[in-house]
This record gives sequence, structure tokens and C-alpha cells, in this order.
Amino acid sequence: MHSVLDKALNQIGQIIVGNPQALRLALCCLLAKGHLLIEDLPGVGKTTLAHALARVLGLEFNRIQFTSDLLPADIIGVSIFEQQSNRFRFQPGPIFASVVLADEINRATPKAQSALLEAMEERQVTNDGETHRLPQPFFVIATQNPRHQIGTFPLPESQLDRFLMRIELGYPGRKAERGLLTGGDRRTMLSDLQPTLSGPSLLKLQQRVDDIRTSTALLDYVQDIIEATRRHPDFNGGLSPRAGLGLLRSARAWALMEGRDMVLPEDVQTVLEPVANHRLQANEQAATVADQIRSLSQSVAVA
Amino acid sequence: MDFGLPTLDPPRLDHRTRNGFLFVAALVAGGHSMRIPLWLVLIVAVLFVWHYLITHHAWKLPGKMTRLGITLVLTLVTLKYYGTLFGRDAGMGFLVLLLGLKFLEFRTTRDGAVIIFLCYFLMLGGFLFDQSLWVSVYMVIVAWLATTVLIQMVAPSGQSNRYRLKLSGQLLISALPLALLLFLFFPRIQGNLWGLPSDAYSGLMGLSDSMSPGSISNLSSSDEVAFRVEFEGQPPPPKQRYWRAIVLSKTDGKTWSQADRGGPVEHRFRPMGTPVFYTITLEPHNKRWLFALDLPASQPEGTQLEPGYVLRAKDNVVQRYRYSLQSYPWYHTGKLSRKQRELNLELPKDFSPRVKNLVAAWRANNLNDQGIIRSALDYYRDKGFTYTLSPPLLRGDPVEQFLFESRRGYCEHYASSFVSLMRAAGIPSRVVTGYQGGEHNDAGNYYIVTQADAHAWAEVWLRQRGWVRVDPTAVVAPERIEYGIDAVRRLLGRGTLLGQLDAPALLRALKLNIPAQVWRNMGLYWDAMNNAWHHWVLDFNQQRQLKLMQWLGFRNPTWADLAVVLIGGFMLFALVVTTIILRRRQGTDPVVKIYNRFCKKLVRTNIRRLPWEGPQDFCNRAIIAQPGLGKDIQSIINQYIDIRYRGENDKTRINRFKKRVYNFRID
Repeated sequence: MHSVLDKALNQIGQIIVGNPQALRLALCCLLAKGHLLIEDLPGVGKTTLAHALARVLGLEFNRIQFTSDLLPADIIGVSIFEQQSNRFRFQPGPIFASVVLADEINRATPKAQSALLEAMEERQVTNDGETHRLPQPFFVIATQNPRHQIGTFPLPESQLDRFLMRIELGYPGRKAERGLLTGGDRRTMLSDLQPTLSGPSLLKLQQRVDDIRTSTALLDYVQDIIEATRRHPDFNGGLSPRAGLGLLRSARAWALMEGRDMVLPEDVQTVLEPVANHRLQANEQAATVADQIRSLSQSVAVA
Repeated sequence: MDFGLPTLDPPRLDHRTRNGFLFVAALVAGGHSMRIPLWLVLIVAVLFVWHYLITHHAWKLPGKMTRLGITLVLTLVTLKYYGTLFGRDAGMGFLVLLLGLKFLEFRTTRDGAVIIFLCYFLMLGGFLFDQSLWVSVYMVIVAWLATTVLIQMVAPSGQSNRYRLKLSGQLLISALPLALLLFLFFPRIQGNLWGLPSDAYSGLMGLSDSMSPGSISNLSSSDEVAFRVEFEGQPPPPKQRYWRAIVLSKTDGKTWSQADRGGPVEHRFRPMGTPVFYTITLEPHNKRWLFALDLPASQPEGTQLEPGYVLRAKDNVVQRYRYSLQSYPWYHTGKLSRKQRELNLELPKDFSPRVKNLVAAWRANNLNDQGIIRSALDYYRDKGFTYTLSPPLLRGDPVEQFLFESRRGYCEHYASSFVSLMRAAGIPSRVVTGYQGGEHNDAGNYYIVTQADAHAWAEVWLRQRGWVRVDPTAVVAPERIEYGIDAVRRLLGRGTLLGQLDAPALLRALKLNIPAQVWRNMGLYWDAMNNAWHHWVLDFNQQRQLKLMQWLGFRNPTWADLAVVLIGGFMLFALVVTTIILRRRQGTDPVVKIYNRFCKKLVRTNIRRLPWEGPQDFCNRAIIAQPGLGKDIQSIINQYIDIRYRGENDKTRINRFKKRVYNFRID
């Protein structure tokens, strides 16, 4: 494991206990320049995770609470008239931060959602004909309540596709929970966190992801997997080309985190579930998608 | 009606594709051209040319009414010609016509598909007439081309003709196992599906059940195969290869015919020496008689031995018939009953006094029976008798005329005159017809006996030996017996006198020049192939299917068992194909092969790589399971990862990896 990343993960792991794999995937998603969707019940530490990530990476952090009356301007900002200079000045919204937490994204109306998603894709915001670049790196962590909760606007598939990964934190285990209960206040712990990375060094790491080698054999395997999702009878449609690119990029990032300079099929297998989960729609029950992806990845031979 | 909706324009076909269709249709119609009337051939040819002009010279497709009119008229003409549109001949003729007519409205891919399927059907229909190897090869080639055209129609652009030919060839070849399965196990119905008319076999040439001058020499130019023989072990020499079929005892002076039934059964004899075992494949001749070497000692199933030591089938032979039996070249037939003696001494009432006098002169010399026989043969030898394929017509008493005047004859003349002489001398004798000789086919290791080998010879009864074969032809034309009818034809064609040359000179004279030799060998190979085709494909009937099923372990096979085997076979085929497809991708990379080999070695330590398991995962698992081998496993898998996933796949690395895996041992 890369030592800097290792250290960063260790620090976050002290605050978010019980699910190190989710933390690693979140970091992997970030390294792969992708946005992260966390789907879980309220109170399991989604916000804390986002916050901790921002702190450890030494990045600026903003939180937007999505509600049903949220407007696009509440996200990207407004132009206000400045009397001194006698002209309009753009007042940037909370989106202008390196790490943006979009809390409970599926509570907002599609209009507000799309404002955020556009910014995610373009990495820039246009207001009154003026284009404002978002900071680099730019990383959105959206949280989403499980779909069956009341008062939610489920994200359409096209917009779900913009998130590189979707992870679940889940309840902590018994031991981890005890640690939580007996441990100190999360908030103070958060503010005590020392950044191990900075914006520029994160960008450098992201560039190194691109240098991870992928052999033809590995590409064969990735294509086999993608084809399998498209041919699988239990899914309505398979992974899109964008998803395929994301899968490969995530696998690269994972390989970097594993301290390797080339991607192995194992890396693909590890990131497949979070990358594919929200993109594949099962014919039957959504709860079984993860299982189906697992069985799918076991139907593709590695050589 | 126009509803203002956009019309769905069906895909049009380009010129080159249309040419392909024309070509295939012409080949298919050409295959039928010998069986349909000439006017129909010409009409279809005109229709093809018309279509060619439509595509290449921008002629207009005929309108609906024109097409309807043409179709109606031609259908009526066909109906008038055949009297029907159904049945084998009329049906196929009509379909060939429709194939031509279809080209008048050939615009879309749908029409193209109809044309190709019609072509397939017509190809199959061809087998109702002729199932020879030659026709089958032609059909396979046409089917291949038709499939190619179909591919071209579906995917007209991009690929070369060679690619399409290859693809359709692959399609046909991959269908072969299923075809074979169906061939072997599809329930077979015995009998004629098409209810052929009763005179269907009347045109067959061959021996007849009576013999008169000229009846056998008619056959001397026919190379049609009578039957083929495979010997077990050493075949008998040419002078013992007399294939008897018919015994002729009655004569009116001209014609020899079979004696009426009811005579005492005479088919037992005392065999001497060792028997000859052989199998005969008889071409259908629509008669009951079967051929056997002198003298048959067994009767295969479905046959019986009849008086005169001849073998008979229960019914007329209308299909190729295969039977195995044994014969004894040496035998003693024992006593002759009085009735038989009388029968075989009978001469016509107005028998020639000249002949009687001749025999009386021999008798006067106090000769015994054998002496008489020798005198008769000497008479043929010394009195200027010659052997000819085109004997002169004999008027009056043919025996007298032949013996004293023409002295030119074919085997039937010699046999009949000899038997007449014997009977005049009081020696019981009779004419036997059948075949003599046979040409060896080196390619198939069997003998071919053709119609030209038809022969007649004599049998005399001697007190000490019973019935004895005497062939007077052998005296005049020993080459006929030793070298066969083909040699005789060639010698006579060159004007050589028979019976004059010694053996080396004969061999020199018979030596073929190289082209003739090559031609002859090709003929023999072709015959061998045809024979195999008949034996393995066409003659695979219900009986042999039954045997195959019994060999597979079904004691009493029913149609249900056949269905089981068929379905099982299909499933097996699907399984094999799937396995091949699944394996193909994995098997290509040599590095993967080596890796798989390594994994196989590890199986012995109960570490089995799961098919989806990546190398690192597998490595970790294997090391935990077998810590003792950990170092080896780690280094081998690391090498594998470097080659396959880091892309450092130069030859030296691969070789090192190979050697490492090869040397990896589990104690």
C-alpha cells in the first residue's frame, strides 16, 4: 500500500470505524477522479466520512443539505447587484469547494439534482453567461436514503451513471460500535485530524493512476466482464461504455492503492460491485443486485 | 391504396448478388436438365436470360398481368405434357419452371430467400432420380454455392467472395455431425417411397433365362457392372472363376431353356478340398437368380439352392443385394437319376444327321466318354474354329451350320454345339450360363464382373466324377478364360488370332500404354469409390440400422430408442461444440497454457484454482494452504503476472517461466 494513502486511511479509520473496505473504496473513487454515492440509512456516518476525507486530504469542504424546496441557485450561487461597482457580481454557492457533500440528494426535486449533476460532469458552472471553473480536485460525495423511504425523488439512471461508485457503510460491528460509544466526540476528533495530503499532491496521485499498466490480457478480461453484464438475462441492459471506462479507471486506482504498477483481474473484481451496482437494474429485486454481480463476476473466467 | 404513409421500401439487391442467384439457379436447373423435356429447359433458360437483361440492361420487370399470363400458360403447357403437376417427374419439372418464373419478379431479399430455398428443395429432389456419388458431389458443391449466395444477400458489402465461400463452407461442415447423426439414427422406412411403376427395372441388361445364338454376344460390349466380389483369403485362379446362375437342359435345336420344375432335387454333392469364401454385391437385375462359384455349398439367409446347384433369391432382386457364401471348386456330384439322365440326353427330333454321323465316327473308334470329349475338343481346335465377338447369323440348324460351315462363334455357339455333340454321343450334358472371370480392382481389393463377362459353358456327367465342367471356348480362345473378356476384345480389335501367342508375347501385346493405364486406374478408383459410397451410404437400410443399434447395446431397438439416441446425440454434439468454443479463447495464449499446467500440478495438493480467480488471490490462497511450497508458488505466479499483466512478455521471460513451471514438482 502506498504509504501516504495508508496513513490517510488510518486516520479516517479512527473516526469511521467498522468498515475499512468502504473507506478504501471511497478513497479509490477519489483517486479515480470519480464522484461517490453513499446509499445508507441516516446516522451511520455518511457526513462524517465526507468531512473526514476532506480534512485528511487537506481539501476545502462544503455541505449542501438537499430538501424538496432547494433551488439550483442554492447550489451554484447567484449574481447579486453590487452598488459600489454598479454591476452584478457572482456570489459562488456551496458547490465551489474541493469536496462537496450533497446530503440526501434524492430529497430534492429533479431540477435541483440536475444542477448539481451538471456541475459534476462539466466541472464548471455557468451563470448569466459566465463560466466559473470549479476547484481542482473536485469531488462530490452524495448521500442517498434507501429508495423506499418517504419523500424521495429517485435519481434517473442517466444521472446515477455520473457517479463512479456507490457504496454502503452499513451498521458498524459490535466491537466497532462499542468503540464508538466509549470513544471521544467525533466532532472534536474531526477537527483534530491532521491533513496528510494536499490538493496538489492529490492531483499528482490522480495522474499516477493513469500510469498504471493494463495489459491486453487484462483488457480482454474487462471486456469479458462488460459483455457479460450486457448479456446477463437478469439485468435490463448492461454497463455503458462510460461505466466500462470508470471500471477500468477504478481498477487502476485500486491497483495503485495496492502498491502495484499494473492492474490484475482481482482489482477489477474488487471495484466491480461498487461501480456496477447502481448502474445495473435487476429484473427482480434491487436488493439482490450485489449478489447477482458477484455471481456474474464468477461466471467470467480469468486466465 | 395510398394512406399517405411512407411505404416501406424492401431492400433491393445489387447486380453482383443477382448474378450469384442466376448462377446457382442455373446449376440447379442444369442438374435436372437431363430429366425434363428440352422445351422446358429452353424456356427456363430464356427466363434466366430475361432476368439477366433486366438487371444488366435496365429492362423493366414484367407487369403483374404479364407475369400472371406467362405463368398460367406455361403451367398449362406443363400440365398438358405430363398430364399432372404432381408426382416425381411432373413435380420436379414444374418446380424447375417455377424457379425460372420466380426470376421475373425477383426484386427483394424475400424473393431471393424463396429462390434459394427452392434451389435447396430441387437439389434434394434430384436424389429421387439418382443417388450416385457423382450426383451427390455435384449437389454438395451447389449447396455450398447456394449458401454462399444467401450469405452475400444478407450481408452484401464488405467481405470478399473468398471469405463468403469459406464461411458457408464452415457452416456446411459444422452441420455435418448433425447430418451424420440423422443419417444413422433417423428411423428408416423400408420400401419404395415413391411407388415406382412396375416396369421401372425393365431396361436392365443382363443374362436371360434362355440362350440362343447371339443372346450372350450382345452383352460383350457392355461394361455395366453385374456384380462385385470380395474374396476372403486367396482368390481362386481365373480358370476356376465360373459364376454359375442358370442351368439349361432343354433345347429345340436353337434355343436352350431351363427344364421344367419338378425334377428330382439335385443340389447335394460331395465337396472336396477347401472351400472358397466370398461376398457378392449384386447390382439389381430384376431376376431371382444369384451368382455363385462352382459349386455353392451354403445358402445365405433369404436365398435357396435349387436343382442344378444354382442359388436363387426369394424375390426378384430390385435393389443392390449383398450376400456371403462359400463354394467348393472341387466336388463330386454322384449318381444321376434316370429322369435327369433322360432330360440331359434329350435332343430335338429333327436333330442333324450330319452331327450324328460325326459323333458316330468317334464312337466307332471305340472311345470311352472321356475320349469322346477329347475328340470333340480336338475337333474345335483343329478344324479352324475361331472365337469372335460378332458371330455371323446362322440360318437353318444353327448347330450343324456352326460345326460344319461358319465355324466362327461366341461362347454360346461353342457351348450349345458341344452339348449337342455330347448328347448325340449319349453322354448326359447341359449348358450352364453365368459369368466368367472378373477384373481385380486394386483400389478396393475386389473383383468387378461386368455384363461383358457373361459366359456359357457345358457340363457333362461322367460315371466316375459326376457333373464335370467343360468349357469348349477355352480351347479356341484360352485368352478369354485366362485374361478376361477385355483382353480378348483388345486382341481381336487389333486382329490378333486367339490361341496363337505364347504367354510372354500375350503379356506384351496386352500391355497398356501409359495414358490408357492411367485412364484404366482412374476408372478403377472411381469404381472403388462408388462401391464404397453404395456400401456405406446408399445401402444403409433398416436392417443395418438395427445392427448398429444392437451394437450400441439396444437388444430390441424400437423407434423410441432411435429417438433417445438421436436426442442424446444432439445434446452431446451441443456439449462438445460449447466446450470447444469456451476452450478456444483460453487455449490460444501459450503463456496461459503454461499457467494452466502449473495450476493442474497444484491440484494434486488439493489447491484448485477457481475459474474466475485472479492470480494474486490464487497465490495468496495457495500459500496459506501449502506454506511449504510458498516460495515456489509466489515466484512462479509473480513471473506469470509480470508476463501477462505487466506486459513484459519477451521470449526469454516466457521460456524461463516455462522452465520454472516444468521443473516445479510436488513431492
